[in-house]
Amino acid sequence: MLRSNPGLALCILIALAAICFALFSGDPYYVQVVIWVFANAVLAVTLRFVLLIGELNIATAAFFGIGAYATAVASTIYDLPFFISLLAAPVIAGLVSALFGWITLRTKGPYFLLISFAFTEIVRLFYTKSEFLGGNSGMIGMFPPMVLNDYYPAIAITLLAAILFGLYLTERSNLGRVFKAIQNNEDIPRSVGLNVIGLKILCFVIASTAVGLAGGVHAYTNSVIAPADFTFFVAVLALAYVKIGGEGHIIGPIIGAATLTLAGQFLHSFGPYENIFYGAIIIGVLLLMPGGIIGLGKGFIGSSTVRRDPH
Amino acid sequence: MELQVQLLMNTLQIGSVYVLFALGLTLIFGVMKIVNFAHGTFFTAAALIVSSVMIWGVGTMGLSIWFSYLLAFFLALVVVCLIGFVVYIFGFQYFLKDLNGSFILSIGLLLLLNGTFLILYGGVPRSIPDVIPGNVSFLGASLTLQRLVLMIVASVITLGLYILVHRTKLGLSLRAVAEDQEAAMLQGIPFRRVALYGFLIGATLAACAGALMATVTPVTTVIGDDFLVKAFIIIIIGGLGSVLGAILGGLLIALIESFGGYYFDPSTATLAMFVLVVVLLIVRPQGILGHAEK
Amino acid sequence: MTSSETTMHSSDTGTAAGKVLLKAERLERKFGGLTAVADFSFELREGEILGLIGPNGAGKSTTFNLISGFMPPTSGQLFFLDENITSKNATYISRKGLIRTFQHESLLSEMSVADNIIIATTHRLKTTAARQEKMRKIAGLTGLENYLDVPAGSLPHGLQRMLSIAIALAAEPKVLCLDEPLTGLQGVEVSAALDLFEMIRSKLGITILLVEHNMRAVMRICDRILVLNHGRLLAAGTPEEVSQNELVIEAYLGHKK
Repeated sequence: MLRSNPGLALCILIALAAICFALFSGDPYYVQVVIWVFANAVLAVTLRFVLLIGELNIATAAFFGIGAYATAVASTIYDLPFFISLLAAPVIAGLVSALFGWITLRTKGPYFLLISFAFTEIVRLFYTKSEFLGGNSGMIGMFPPMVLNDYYPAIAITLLAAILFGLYLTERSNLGRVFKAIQNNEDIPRSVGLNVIGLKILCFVIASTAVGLAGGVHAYTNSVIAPADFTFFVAVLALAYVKIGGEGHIIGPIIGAATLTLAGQFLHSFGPYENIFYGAIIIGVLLLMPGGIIGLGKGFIGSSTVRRDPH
Repeated sequence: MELQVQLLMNTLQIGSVYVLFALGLTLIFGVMKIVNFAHGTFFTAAALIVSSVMIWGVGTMGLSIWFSYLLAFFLALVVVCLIGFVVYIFGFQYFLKDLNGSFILSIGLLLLLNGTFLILYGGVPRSIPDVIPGNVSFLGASLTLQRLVLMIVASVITLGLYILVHRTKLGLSLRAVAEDQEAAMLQGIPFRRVALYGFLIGATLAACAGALMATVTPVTTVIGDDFLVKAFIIIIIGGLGSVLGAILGGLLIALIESFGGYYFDPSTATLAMFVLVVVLLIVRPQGILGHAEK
Repeated sequence: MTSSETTMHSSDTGTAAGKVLLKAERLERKFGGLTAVADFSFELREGEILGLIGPNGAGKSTTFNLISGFMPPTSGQLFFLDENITSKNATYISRKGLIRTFQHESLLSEMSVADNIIIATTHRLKTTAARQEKMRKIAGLTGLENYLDVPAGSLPHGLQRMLSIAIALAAEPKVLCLDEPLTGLQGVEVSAALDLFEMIRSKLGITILLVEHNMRAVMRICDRILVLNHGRLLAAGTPEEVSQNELVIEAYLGHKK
C-alpha cells in the first residue's frame, strides 16, 4: 500500500517527524504550534468529511467544543484518569452528534447549514450560562499526569495524526464511496437498498467523534478552555483551510491548515487586519483558484483527474 | 395587564426590525438559492453610516436632528445599495444557486467588511440623539414616541415589500424565479437581472433595519451579527424563501424574546427558540409555511 | 366508470404468467388540489413484462414513485410479495427486491461506471471481491465492460441508459421498474435494449414493469399493457387489444374527429 502510494508514505513520514520533534525539541512554543497545526488539520478534515455527503457542517466547531468540555469536566470535576477523560471527548461528542444528526439530517442544504450554525452558537451560549461549566471564563486545570508530561505533545500529535489517517482510510473504503454517491445523487443509493438517512447520520457521527477527540486533546494541550474558543468562527477557519488547500483530496485541508496556522502565528498582532487578511484570502482563493493549492499542483502536472467544481 | 401590554409593545417593536432583516435574507435565498452570511454587514454598515452622519450633521454642521436623520437614512440606503451592487457584480453573480460556494464567499465578505468597519470606526459604541423625543402611553404601557414611529415605519416598509412581491411585475418575476428558475427563464424572465434586483432589495431591507435600529440602540461594528443567528432561526421557522413565513417567524421570535427574556432571562429565551426549531424540524422539516422541496 | 370495467377485462386476458408479485389497490396521489393518480389498481405477475403507457402527465412517473416508496400514496394499498408495503420507505422496498430506474438523473454522474455499479451491490454483497465480481458480470451483460473507469457523466447517451439499467440489475431485483429506458436511443440501440430486457426476463428471471413512450417497442415486447390517462386507468390488455381500444386511440390522437 505504501509502495504504491508515495504521497501517503510522505504524510506518514511527516507525522513521524512531527512526533519526534515534539519528543526532542526543547522549545515548547514550536511544539505547541505543531499541535495546533494537527488540531486544525483535524477540524478541516472533519469539515470536509461531512462535505462528502454534500452538507456544510458548521457544527464541527460545536463538537470540537463538546469534546473539549467533556474532557475538562471528566478531568477537573470528576477527577477521572487521563485516558478516560480523553476518551470522554469522542464518546460524548459521538452521542450528542447521533441525536443531533438524527433530528436534523432529514433536512439538507441551506436548512442543515443554518441549523448547524444556530446549534453552534446556542451550545456556546449554554456554556456561558452554565455555572457548572465555568460560565464565561470557562474551565481550567486540565493537565496530563506528571509521568506523561514530557510525552504529552507526542501523544497528542500521535492521536491527531491517527484521526487523520483513520478518516483517510474511511474515505477510501466502500463507505467513503457510498458517501460520495449520496452527495452526487442520493436517489440512486436509495433506489438500490441503501439507507441514505442512516448513512448520512453515520458520516456525521464519524466526523463529530473524530473532531470531539481533537477537542479533548485541545483541552489538555491548552489546560484552559472558554466558550469563546468554540464560536462558529472555528468552523469558518476550518472552511478556509479546506478551500485554500483544495477540497478534491483529503491532503488539501491538511496543507491548508498547515499554511494558514503558520501564517496566523505572524498575524496575531495585527488586530482587525487579521480578519481582513482571512476574508481577503478566502475571497481571493474562491474567485481565483477554486481548486486550492492542490488544484494548482495538479494543474502544473497537467493531470486530467482534477475534479472540476460545478461552479 | 400593563406588563403584558408593555411586553407586547416590545415584541412588536423588536419584531418589526427582525422582520425587515429576515425578509431580506429570505428574499435573497428565494431568488438566488444562497444563504448570505454577510447580510448582517449591510445592517451594520447602515447603522454606522447613520450614526456618523448624524454626529457630523448635528455636531459639525449644526443641521436639525430631523434633517440629519433623513439625510443619514438616505445616504445609508444609497451606500449599502452600492456595496450590494459591488459584491454582487464581483462575487455573488458567479455563485447563483451554489450554496457552498456562496456561503464561503459571504463568510469572506463578513470577515473583510467587519475588519474594515473596526478600522474605520473603532470598537467604541456610539449613540445618536433622539430624533423624536417624547413618550406615549397605551393601555397603561408606555413607549417612547421614537420606538412607536420606528415600528410604524418598519411595518410600512414590510407592507410595501409585500405589495411589491405580490402585486407588481417585478414581484411576479421574483416569485417565478424563486419557484422554478428554469421555467421562469423559458417564460423570458431575465434570471440574472432579477437575481440582482432581489439581492439589492434584500440589502436595502437590511439597511432600513440598520438605519432604524441605530435610533434606539448604541451602534457597534458587530451590531448586525447579533441579528444574524435570530434571523436564521426566523427563516428556518418560517420556511426559506417565504415572505409571510419571515413575517410570522419574526414576530414569533420577538414574542419569545421579550416574554421569555422578562420571565426568565435572555439566554433562556434564545435556548427556547432553538428548542422550538428542533421540535419544528421533527414535525415539519420544511418550516411553518415552507413547502416541501420535493 | 371505465376503469372498473377495464380492470375486470384485464383479468380475463391473463397470459400464462405466474403468481402476483406486485398488487396496487385503488392507488391515489394528490398534490395540493391536483390529482396525479386516482383509483388505479393493477397486478404485476411473475415472469411478465408489463407496459405502462399514457400521454405526458398521465401519472406514470408518479405511479413509479408510489410503488417504489419514493412518495407515499394519498390513499390506496400496495402489496409486494404478499406484504403490505403501502407505508414502507424506498430503502425497505428496494431491499425487498423492487428496484426502479429514473427517467432523469438516473446515475451518479461524477463517479466512474465501475463505482456506479459497485454502489448498487453494496447492500447485498459484503466483500470487495464479491462486489468486483458482480460489477464485472453486470458490466459485461450491459456492454459497459470497456468503460469501467470512465466518469458516468461523460458516457455517450446510449451507454448512460445502459448504466442506469446496470445499476438496477446490480441490486438483484425480483421486479425491475424501468422509467422510459429507451428515451433518446437510436434504432439499433433500441433493439439491443429490447433484447437485453428479454434476456433479463428469460435468463435472469426478473419481472419487468416498463414505462415507455416508444409505442412500437412497447407493443413488441410487452405481454400486457396498462394505459393511464389523467391519472386514471383507461384500458388494459394485450398489445393488440390496447391498440384497438377506441378510448386509447382517442386519448393519443386527441379530439380529432
